[in-house]
Amino acid sequence: MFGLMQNFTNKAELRESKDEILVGEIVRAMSRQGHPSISFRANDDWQRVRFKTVTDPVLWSVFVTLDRKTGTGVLSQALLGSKATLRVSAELKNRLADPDDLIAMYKTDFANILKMPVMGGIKLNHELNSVFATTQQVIEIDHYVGKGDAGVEKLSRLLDGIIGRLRDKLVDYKK
Amino acid sequence: MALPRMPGPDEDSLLVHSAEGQLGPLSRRTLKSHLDEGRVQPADHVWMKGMTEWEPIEAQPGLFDALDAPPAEEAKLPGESDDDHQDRIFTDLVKQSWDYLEDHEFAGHIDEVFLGAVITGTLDTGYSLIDLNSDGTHHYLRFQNMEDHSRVIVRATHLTGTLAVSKVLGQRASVVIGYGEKVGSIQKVMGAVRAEMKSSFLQNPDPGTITVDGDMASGYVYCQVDMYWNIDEYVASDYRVDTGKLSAHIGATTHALRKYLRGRFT
Repeated sequence: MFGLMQNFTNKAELRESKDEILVGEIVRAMSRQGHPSISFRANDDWQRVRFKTVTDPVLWSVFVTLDRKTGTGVLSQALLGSKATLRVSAELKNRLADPDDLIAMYKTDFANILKMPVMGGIKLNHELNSVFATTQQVIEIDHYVGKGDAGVEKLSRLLDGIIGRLRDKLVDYKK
Repeated sequence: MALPRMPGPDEDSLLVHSAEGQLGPLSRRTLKSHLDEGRVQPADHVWMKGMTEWEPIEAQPGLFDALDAPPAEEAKLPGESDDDHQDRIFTDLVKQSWDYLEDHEFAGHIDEVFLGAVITGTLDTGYSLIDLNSDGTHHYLRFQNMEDHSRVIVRATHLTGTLAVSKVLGQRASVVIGYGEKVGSIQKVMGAVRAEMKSSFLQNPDPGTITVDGDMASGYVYCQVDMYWNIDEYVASDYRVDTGKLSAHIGATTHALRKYLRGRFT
């Protein structure tokens, strides 16, 4: 009886931990690309990690936010899977800014005001010294965790692809 | 080891260990005058940003070179116009300002670089991250090995988050490492719960004190130990991480806790 109860508790814990498992793999994948973590904010169902893109000639930092939507209970996992929104925001920083940047900043923001960074779309947000490009997509956590090296490889490709697209959007703003 | 970048003659960038204790930050020119006055000896140790360890002053060739020359950024390059020269000085000043800001930011987030290194290193030893909580200063990580179901806990609190304090004390963190295993019988978990009650009398455990937690629901027993770690031993100012040292320290600590746990509860 005690063993049964323990097994049930362990399975529930691991089901609830899938998003943390994925965040751990994201941190490892980014570290292998030479991007150390520089900020963590995390609670039970939402995690955001900021990475310093030390070796990237264009980007200054990247934020990755994972927000779990389904799959913490047995029923929701069976019906809907373990879905989460993965939001990635890349930051380009210029060391010099001037009043012309204010104009450019408002132009960028107006052009993007109705854009939603969902389904792979990219939204730009221009601040004085920084320009952010953000995209968001719904992912199935089970495609990446518990799949061994194949899952880790798939995750690395996903992150590389997203960061590459964000970099392409930002590169023209680099002074 | 050679200096990473020769600072300007009047740039306060050197720390020195002398008979008077730690001096600095000092400029190269001030250090030279201290040496001339005998206040500092050639065998005393010096450190500046980018050096991995303290080195004797006498082992630093070129530390006192060109003290009377204008700073390199102010010297005109061959063929450089006046306009370009002025622009370059201005650009360097702006860059220095960003470097200054980055020094402050790095002092504030070195614990999170450390945390990322702990995650990467622990995942590389076959564990998965199953719990993560952080408010930016207090961090809690829990890992599980999916093969043998053992767990590792790392709790870290950054104690020296400002540049001034970290320059004086080094980068320190209160670190609690825990190791847990499923012990299999209710009697053993109850034994751990009794030990946990005793542990609860230790409000602020001293370093090296092992405390025990028992979790009736999951059947896990955890042993954990409080320590203080110098996190700049693992993370350099250019964000490079000494993963070998970090993994060795976490490995040795979990090894000791595993022995204690198995000796007492299994």
